[in-house]
Amino acid sequence: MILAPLFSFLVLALLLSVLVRHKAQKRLKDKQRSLTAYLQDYFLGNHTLGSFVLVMTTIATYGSVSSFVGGPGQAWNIGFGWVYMAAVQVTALILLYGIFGKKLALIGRKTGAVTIPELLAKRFESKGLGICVAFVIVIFFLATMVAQFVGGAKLFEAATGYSYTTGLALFGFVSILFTAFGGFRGVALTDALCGIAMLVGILIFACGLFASIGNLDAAFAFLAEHKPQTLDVFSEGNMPLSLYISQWLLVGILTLCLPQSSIRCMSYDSTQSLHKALVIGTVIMGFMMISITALGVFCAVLMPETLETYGQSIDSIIPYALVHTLPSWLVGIAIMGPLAASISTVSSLLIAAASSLINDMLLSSRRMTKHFGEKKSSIAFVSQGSTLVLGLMVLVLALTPPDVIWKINMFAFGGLETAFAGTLLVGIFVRFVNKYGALASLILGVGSYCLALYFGFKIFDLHQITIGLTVALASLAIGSLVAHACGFRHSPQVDHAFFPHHKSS
Amino acid sequence: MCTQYERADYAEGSRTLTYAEKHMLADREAKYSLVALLSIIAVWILLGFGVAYLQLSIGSIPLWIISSSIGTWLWACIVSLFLVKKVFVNFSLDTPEESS
Repeated sequence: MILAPLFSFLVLALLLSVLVRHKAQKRLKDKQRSLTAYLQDYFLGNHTLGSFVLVMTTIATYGSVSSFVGGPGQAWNIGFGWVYMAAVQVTALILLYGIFGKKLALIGRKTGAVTIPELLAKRFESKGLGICVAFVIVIFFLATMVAQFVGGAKLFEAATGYSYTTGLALFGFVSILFTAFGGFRGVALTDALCGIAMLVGILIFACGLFASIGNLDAAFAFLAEHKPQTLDVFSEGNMPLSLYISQWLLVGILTLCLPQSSIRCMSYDSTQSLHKALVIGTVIMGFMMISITALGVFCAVLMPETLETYGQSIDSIIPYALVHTLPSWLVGIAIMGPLAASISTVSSLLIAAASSLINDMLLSSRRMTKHFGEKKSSIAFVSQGSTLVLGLMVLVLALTPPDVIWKINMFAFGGLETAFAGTLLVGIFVRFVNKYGALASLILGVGSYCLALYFGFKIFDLHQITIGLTVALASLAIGSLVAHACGFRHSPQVDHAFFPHHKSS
Repeated sequence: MCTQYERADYAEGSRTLTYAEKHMLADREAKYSLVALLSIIAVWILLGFGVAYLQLSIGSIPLWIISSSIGTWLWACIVSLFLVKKVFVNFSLDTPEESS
């Protein structure tokens, strides 16, 4: 009974992706079928997303299991300071659609780029840079996907009573399958389903929690007496200013650089859709992120004991609260929210990682492009096969679960933001920067970020993203300046596609 | 901001924009989005740290808890509506042949 909603959801997602692929194949057969047409369709959905699917796929990709389990778990511990911090996420879509929305759509259509690494390879006229970027994407995406699967399976175990492995095998395998079948368009549509499931999950959980808590005034009075730090903006020292600044960078301003989000700016159909998505998305994003995090704090009213009582980990708080505030048949529907968050993030990352692997690594060699150009049907097999294999690899890695999901998520967030702040954000808008600066930014930025994290080195107690970002931007500027001084200039084609409005182009 | 005349002009397709002009518009919209971000940061600080400093409350609920999260969210919604209604312009994303 408890698994019925999950089963129904997974079957629906699978059917949807099969239908999408069937339609896509029919369409491709009707048109003159080329390698580029297939890649555009499988990895980018052929610029056809409308406003609703665009907004839901962006939100579902952005909102991960960490937003539903790790974040609210932290809020249970820290208090409303964590909710205040979660509110910074309301800027995510304004920045993504406002800054990248039209720019990437125009450049994507002009250059025919299918992925962010391909777009960067064209911007900087360097296949090597494209391969490096694709490599960074695959590595960080793998880490994030493992964390998502672990989060989902742990939640499944805690809420349903079935084993961790059963949960992982069930929703993990099906989500890999529908991603491989449906491609980007299938992922976008199932993301829309996931987005709806996330909203429904939050609403059901909120109803159950508030029914158990009763009077809101009494709840605050209880928190003031038993957990006063939850009502302090600095959580009595647990939420220093440096954490606020770090989180503004990590989950606020720099999220537009995440390739899994920015690729969506190349996939929609018209500016009208983008504009609608911006407004609808800001409303939904704010509701989702603020409400689920606030619910975490309210859990403290029902669960005032120490962490040891609830399973030693903050990731256990939400599953525990779900089971103890809802009847079992409703738990099955409510856990669809966080599971959908996990599924949608994994499917989006999986298709993006597979596209990097196929489009930016495999097809970067002329020989392979020629080979698949002649045997067009085999590229479909290779694309779907590599998506499947990559997904199964993640599934196997997730069998040994790491401890805290949100930390892995933040690590990958920071790494990707460091890699793409200089190359993508600055590279798309500033004509002066060149491939030498971009390469230096990518290698030194990501390298310094990982080293700083590994050694626990911080400046002014700020998250290591600040070190990675500073090094990345400085390397971009210095590398570009040196190359410029040595006489390096990019070709007129770059000006034509990326900077047609600059005076010298 | 675009004048009402210009927005209608682009939207109705009475004037076809060149690829370069579309980039100019996209850059301009990106700049306005940055200004929007700065306004949200300012409101976030005022409604969070600012209100918490004043120590106001509604019953037993500290006011900063509501203003910092719901207030910031509402402001972001208003800003996004303003951008879409007053700043952003509709145009075709396909690239005309003349520019190639």
